[in-house]
Amino acid sequence: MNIETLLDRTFTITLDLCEAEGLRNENISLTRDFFQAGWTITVVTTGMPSSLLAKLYTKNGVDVGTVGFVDAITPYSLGKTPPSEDRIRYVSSPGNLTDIGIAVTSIANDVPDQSVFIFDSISTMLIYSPSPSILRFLHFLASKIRLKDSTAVFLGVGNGLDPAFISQVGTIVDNMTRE
Amino acid sequence: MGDELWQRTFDAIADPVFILDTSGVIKQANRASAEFLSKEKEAVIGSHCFEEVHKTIDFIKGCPFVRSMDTGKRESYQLKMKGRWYRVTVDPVKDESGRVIGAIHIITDIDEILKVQEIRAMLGVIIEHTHDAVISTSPDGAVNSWNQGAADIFGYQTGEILGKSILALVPETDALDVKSTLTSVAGNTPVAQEITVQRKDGKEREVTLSASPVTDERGVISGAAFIIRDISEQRKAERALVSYIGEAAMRLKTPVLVIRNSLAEIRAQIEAQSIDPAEAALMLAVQISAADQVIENIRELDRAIADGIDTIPEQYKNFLKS
Repeated sequence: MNIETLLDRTFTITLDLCEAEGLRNENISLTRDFFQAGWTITVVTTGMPSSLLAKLYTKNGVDVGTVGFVDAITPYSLGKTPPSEDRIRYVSSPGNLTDIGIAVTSIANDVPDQSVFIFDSISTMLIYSPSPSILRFLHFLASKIRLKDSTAVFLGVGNGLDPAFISQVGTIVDNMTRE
Repeated sequence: MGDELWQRTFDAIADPVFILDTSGVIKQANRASAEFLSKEKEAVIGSHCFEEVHKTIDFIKGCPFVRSMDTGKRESYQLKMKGRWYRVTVDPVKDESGRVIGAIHIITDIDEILKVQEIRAMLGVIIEHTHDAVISTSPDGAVNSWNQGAADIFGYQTGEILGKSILALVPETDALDVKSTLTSVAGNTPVAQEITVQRKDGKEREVTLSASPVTDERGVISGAAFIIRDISEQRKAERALVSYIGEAAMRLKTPVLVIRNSLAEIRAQIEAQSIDPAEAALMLAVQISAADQVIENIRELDRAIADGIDTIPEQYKNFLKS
């Protein structure tokens, strides 16, 4: 996607739909671009453990010491919460939208203006929650992030989402891109 | 009136007519009588009516002539002869003092009328027992008739709705559609459409409506006939199905795709030796958790569809819930 429209704050909330095979690379690419632009990055992951994402970011030139995580998949997959780390907030499950929302809100209260939340991804969230709940959650998050003058990118697999669902998400976001 | 003119007039009557004396002897018969009996007029005169009409030796039971002679009034009955239905009417002829001095015996072929009545009666029974609403209105939409199906769909009993506008049966938002329908029907154009109607209790129902012009014997449009079928449950089921398919695609197809690609990624990383066994185990654990959730999603969706649609047969509901 064209990250310039995010860096110049043309759009605040973006739905970034890509091919299933390209989802991981899109996450890495966005994170690298925001990192290089000097933004504060928080990655909300419901598909890949933060420890593995951090390793991929490092491999792609991102200083993971500057990246925060809300990790909702590691505790769920391991069956236990790993030891706490400064830049990682663990949530019990990808289906625990309330705790994910609390974690994001809490981080959004502390971050500077040039901050971005990357959600990876709506598609994996849909494994754990029905679409109406996801829509309510996205609406809630978008409001919070706008209020804090932050930026958000919701990643998703484009060809696997119900057109009606995409249309409803379209009313929440400012911008929708599809690769 | 001269005898000849009188006879011509008598013969002009299309129905068989006899003039009888008080004992039932035929004194005069018109041309239609002769044709009806397949005899010359002259051969009929002097015989008893029962001999000619019924081929019996005495008056038949319930004979209107006998009753008319008794009551001094018009009497009639219906009977089947030669495979057709007739109405036999006997009017007494009286003298100046009011004494009965004879009778006029008229046989009218009512076979077609009775058949039409029979068909109408049958149609009436069908209309009354169909689950569809069958409503007739005046050209401007005032309800003239209302069957039980209409009462069931709309909640109004016949007495509550007769004379009221059919527009009272639709929400304001759909009133224009129905007005347009009335206009089309008035122009002799039948209409079929799906609309939302409103019951007496305020609840809305989805229906198919077909409206046709009703014409009188002259072919002039005298009103409109509406047949309305409640398809609310069908539409509800269809929407539930579409919703199910959409939700199933998102919560099943997409996750399986994500899992598949994650597994391919894990495999590639293992082959490239870019992750250690612990990391590979963690990534695989994520995929197992996701797969477990997908299985639970399938159960949840099946339960939702089974509980949400009343029309699903019980055995399928049990299958979906198992």
